[in-house]
Amino acid sequence: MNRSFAYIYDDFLADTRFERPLAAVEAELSRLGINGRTVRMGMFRDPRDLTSDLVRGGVNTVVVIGNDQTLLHVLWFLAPLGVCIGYIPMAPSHAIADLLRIPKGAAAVDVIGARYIEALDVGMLDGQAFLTEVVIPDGRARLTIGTYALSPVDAGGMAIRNIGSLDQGVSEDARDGQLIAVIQSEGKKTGSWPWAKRAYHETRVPFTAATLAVEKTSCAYIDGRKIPGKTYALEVSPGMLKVITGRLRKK
Amino acid sequence: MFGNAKPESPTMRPSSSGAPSAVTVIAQGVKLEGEFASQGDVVVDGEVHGTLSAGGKLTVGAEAKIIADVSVGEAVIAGMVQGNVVVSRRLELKSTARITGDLSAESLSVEAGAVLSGRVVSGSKASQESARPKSPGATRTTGA
Repeated sequence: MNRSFAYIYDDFLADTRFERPLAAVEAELSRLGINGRTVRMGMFRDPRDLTSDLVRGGVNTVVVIGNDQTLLHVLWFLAPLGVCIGYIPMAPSHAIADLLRIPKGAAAVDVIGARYIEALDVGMLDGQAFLTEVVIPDGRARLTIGTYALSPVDAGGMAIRNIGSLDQGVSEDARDGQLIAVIQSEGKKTGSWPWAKRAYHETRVPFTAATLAVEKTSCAYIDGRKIPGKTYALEVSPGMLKVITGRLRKK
Repeated sequence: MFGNAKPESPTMRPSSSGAPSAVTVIAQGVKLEGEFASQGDVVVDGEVHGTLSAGGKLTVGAEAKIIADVSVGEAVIAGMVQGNVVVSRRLELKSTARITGDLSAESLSVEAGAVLSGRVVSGSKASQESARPKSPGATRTTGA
């Protein structure tokens, strides 16, 4: 057993349908010599205590096994501890795994074994950390970045991206010390009825700190989670997360 | 606990991976107000009100409307600019360019059809002299 590795299993993996895929994962971990301490996330177990215990025990790489919700549930407790974070997606949703180029199941063990570590930026919205993006859908919003402000002329969606978009699978550079504001605005329809299509234009502005004021809709979605509010402070924490990804691997 | 839960998630329209993050793009349908400064390249197809400065290349689309003083390294302009334009290297005006203000560039290229209304300084003197504010009666309208 490799004492520097620990594996956090989500409780839903106790279901029998995950028995064989998990056995394949564990076989691969043993083959590469990176099998380590295993813990299960319990409903009543505080992730803060769980992660602190692991680090006190000499673990420097913590691998989360589950899905995107599992990762997001423990990620923000692991980040301040300075450990490397790995991820083995076993079930939907795994959009974050797709953005990080981590394959599903036993194939992800190769990524863990290759140990290509990226220092990823973390976005902060009113002090809450986010990994992927903040979305303000179909509403007027005004983004103030230092001495200037951006707003759509008509209705349009706005997203503040860090590693990329969960829905669209678009990756952004999360190592540049910046967040990127993406504003979609409606363009003209082209073509004739009934095949006419509306074009959408995309504004892209990189920034490090901004204030977001939402006019029409009264909420924002942060990593897919709804956060009510009208005004939000945004900033980036550069290189805060050390994550093992598949993005640097040569194909 | 997290097995089948799918988070509610709003959607935006399908997005292109588009320009690299070092490039700032102000697309059609978006307005920028205030003092904008960038060290990289900037593409404007929307509206800009205030001031705009960039160390790299500015590309102004045919539908763009800039009501601002502009100071950039290099520029290709095909839209409307109302304000003084200072370019330290090359300035190219396309046939659909409509400029109201003084122009200053080390190298200047103007396509037939571009409309300029202001003072023009080009060549090596342009790097020594910044565009001065327009004075009444001293403008020259050029329809090339």
